[in-house]
Amino acid sequence: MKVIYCGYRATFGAYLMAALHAGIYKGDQFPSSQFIKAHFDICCLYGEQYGNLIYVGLDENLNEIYAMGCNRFFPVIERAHTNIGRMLKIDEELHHIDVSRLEGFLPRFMGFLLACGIKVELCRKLFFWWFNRKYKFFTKMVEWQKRGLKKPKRSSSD
Amino acid sequence: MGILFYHCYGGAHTSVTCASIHLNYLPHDRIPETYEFKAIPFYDKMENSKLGTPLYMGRDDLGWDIYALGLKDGKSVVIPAIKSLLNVSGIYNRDVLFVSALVQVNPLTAIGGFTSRKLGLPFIGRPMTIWGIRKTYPLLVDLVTRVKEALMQDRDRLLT
Repeated sequence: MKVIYCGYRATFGAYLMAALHAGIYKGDQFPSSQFIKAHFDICCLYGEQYGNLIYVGLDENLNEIYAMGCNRFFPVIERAHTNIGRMLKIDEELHHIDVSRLEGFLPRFMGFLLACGIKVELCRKLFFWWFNRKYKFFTKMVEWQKRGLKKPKRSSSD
Repeated sequence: MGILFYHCYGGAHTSVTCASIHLNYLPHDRIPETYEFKAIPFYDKMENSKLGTPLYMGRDDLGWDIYALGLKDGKSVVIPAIKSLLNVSGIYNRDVLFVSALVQVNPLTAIGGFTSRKLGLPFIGRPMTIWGIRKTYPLLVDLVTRVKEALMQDRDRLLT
C-alpha cells in the first residue's frame, strides 16, 4: 500500500506526519532541535514542490509512505490518482490523507514568506513554535491513521 | 498504444469537444450544429464533485485511448501529481499524454460553463457554451489535428 500524506505544501504537516508514520520521528520522544532545524531546511528547499510525491520511508507493515503538496487541489488529485490507478491497473492500494486542515494556517503563512525569501529568521522561530505545538497532536493523528489502515494482503506464493 | 487526456477546467465542454473531434464524433471540415454538440456523450455532464475523474471517450484509429479530464485551475499541480504516481509505480510516462484543451477559450464558454455546472442552470448555460465553442471551433480542430500528427509521427518513429 502507498500511504500519501497530502498538505497544502508537502514539507510542513504532511512531511511531519509521514516522518512520524515511517518512524523517522519517534512519537513518544520529542526530536532534538537539530532534527527540527533539518526539517525547517527541507521546508526552505522543497516547500514549493507541488504535486511531487516525496518518498519518506516504509512503515512496519512495509507500506510506502509519501508526502505531497497538493495546494488546494486535494480532492481533484485524490480522484485522479484513484481513477488513473484503476485504469492503469496499478494493483497497489492508495491511501490519501488530507493534512491541510490539521496543520493550521501557520504553514501557509511561513511557506509564503519562505517562497518570497523574506523574514527567514522569523519563519524559523515560527516553525519551532508550530512544531512544538503540533507534535503531540500529529503523533496522535498518525496513531489513529495507522490503526485505520488495513494490514497488507499476503500473496498466495508466500 | 497509450492514453491521451484532453484536459480543461471543468471537464465538461472544451476537453469533451476536443476528444470528440479526435474520435471523429464531430466534423473537421465544418462547424457543427447545436444538436450535434448535444448528442456528444458527456457534453456538459461533469459534476463539480467529480472533477479529477477521467471520462473515457473512445479509442482512436492509432489505438490511443482518449479521455476528457477536468482539473480546475490546478493543472500545474495535478498533472505532476499524476506523473509522479506513474513514476513511482513504474509506468512509462511516454504512454500517458496530457493535452490542454484550453486554447483561447471564448468567455461565453466560461460563463456558460459556470452557469450550467456551478449554478445548476443548464438551460441557460449549455446554449452559451455551445455558442462559445462554435466560435473557437476551428482552433480546437487545429489543436486536435496537430496532436494527431504528433501521434502519427511518433508511431512512425517507433515503427521504423
